[in-house]
Amino acid sequence: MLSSRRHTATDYFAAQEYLHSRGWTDGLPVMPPTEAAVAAMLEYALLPADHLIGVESVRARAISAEKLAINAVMAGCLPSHFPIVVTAFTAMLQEPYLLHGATASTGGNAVLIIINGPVLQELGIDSTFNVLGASDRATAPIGRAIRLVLRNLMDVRPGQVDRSTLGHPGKISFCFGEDETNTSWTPLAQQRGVPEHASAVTVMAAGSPRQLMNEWTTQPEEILDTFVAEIKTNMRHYSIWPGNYAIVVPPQLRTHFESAGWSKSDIADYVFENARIYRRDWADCGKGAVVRHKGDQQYAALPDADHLMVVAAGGPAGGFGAVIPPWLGHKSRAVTMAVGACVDCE
Amino acid sequence: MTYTMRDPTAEASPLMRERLPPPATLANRTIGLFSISKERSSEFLDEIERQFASTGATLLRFEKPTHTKPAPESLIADIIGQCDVVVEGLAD
Repeated sequence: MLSSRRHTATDYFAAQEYLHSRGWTDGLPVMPPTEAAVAAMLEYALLPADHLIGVESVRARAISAEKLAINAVMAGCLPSHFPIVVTAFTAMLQEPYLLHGATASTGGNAVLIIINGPVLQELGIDSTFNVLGASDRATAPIGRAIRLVLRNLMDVRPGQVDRSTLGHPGKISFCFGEDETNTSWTPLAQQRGVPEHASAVTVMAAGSPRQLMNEWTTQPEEILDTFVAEIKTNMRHYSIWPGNYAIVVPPQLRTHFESAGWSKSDIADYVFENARIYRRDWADCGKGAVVRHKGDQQYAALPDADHLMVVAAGGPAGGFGAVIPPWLGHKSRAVTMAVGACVDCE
Repeated sequence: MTYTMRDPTAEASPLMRERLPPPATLANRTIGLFSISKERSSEFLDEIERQFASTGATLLRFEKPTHTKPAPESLIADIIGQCDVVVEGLAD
């Protein structure tokens, strides 16, 4: 039984204008959240409407399954997508994610959602071509659902709780799956403690992806030096604070690592050791005023090697890669959660 | 076709409270200078403290543990208990 207030519109177009005019959309058309559509979401996930997903602690706002489902319908999700939306938002409500701080910050970030496990095939998630740009039927609406949930349930609208100076395009939707098929690497979720063969979601308060290219070497160290240079650039130009970084490695570069026997852990160790700058480096990019007497102080991008999330994804051709930096160092931490896991169960 | 839709918002009704009127004078009042702990916020509040020095007010300093989280309730209670006016600031 749904308990949310009812709103009526005379036809499909009136419904769009009704929802837009109240600030309940991201500007794109939405699916009208009818009772039948919302009920189908809940039924697929086997969740009662009043099931408590969690409570956002800063604003003491309780989030019910019904409210998530309404926003998932609006985003264009199928019922089969809904368990991913539930898991992603549950992960965001965990203390290390720092939901309010991350979503209210002037330093605009988006919720990066990375999907692992059997659900990739079940939902037809394509982790190859155009992977960072909405490549399939599932990832775009799942990411969008999270944005609508933030808008409508947490008031994270631009100029209200969302104080982003710039934001970035991923705030519309920033979701992709790891390519577990075309690699020998351990999936991200498994590396982060989820059992093998379980589906899982990792969320991270993320800056925009920074694309790089190195097609002129097969040496793992040289390839990683390009990733490291991009990370160091982020540290110089944006934020020096250490935290979770994600790097996305498509097949052409992955081949060189796998041929040389490099695991994700080997990559993380190399990046941890090498992605470091001195505070005096800020003077080279116009930030000399904040170097002060600490010029010789060294900063690492990662608190430890485990903070690097190495993700296999991307189309088959091209020596490209991407660095996805954190919002504000370790203030928000990436959270990984198995789909269907109960947070408070004993 | 008529659409009956369910409300996507929290349907919360925030409690709005009236702000207290400012005191007519700051003399013999207690002003709390509350740093949110962003870099250099102390520097900003030092200047505010200098400017308030001639008012005859008592100045107290408070600081959040981190700017990324709300202040602990005990800290808020301290400020409410001790201060007539609060200046909260600032960052970067």
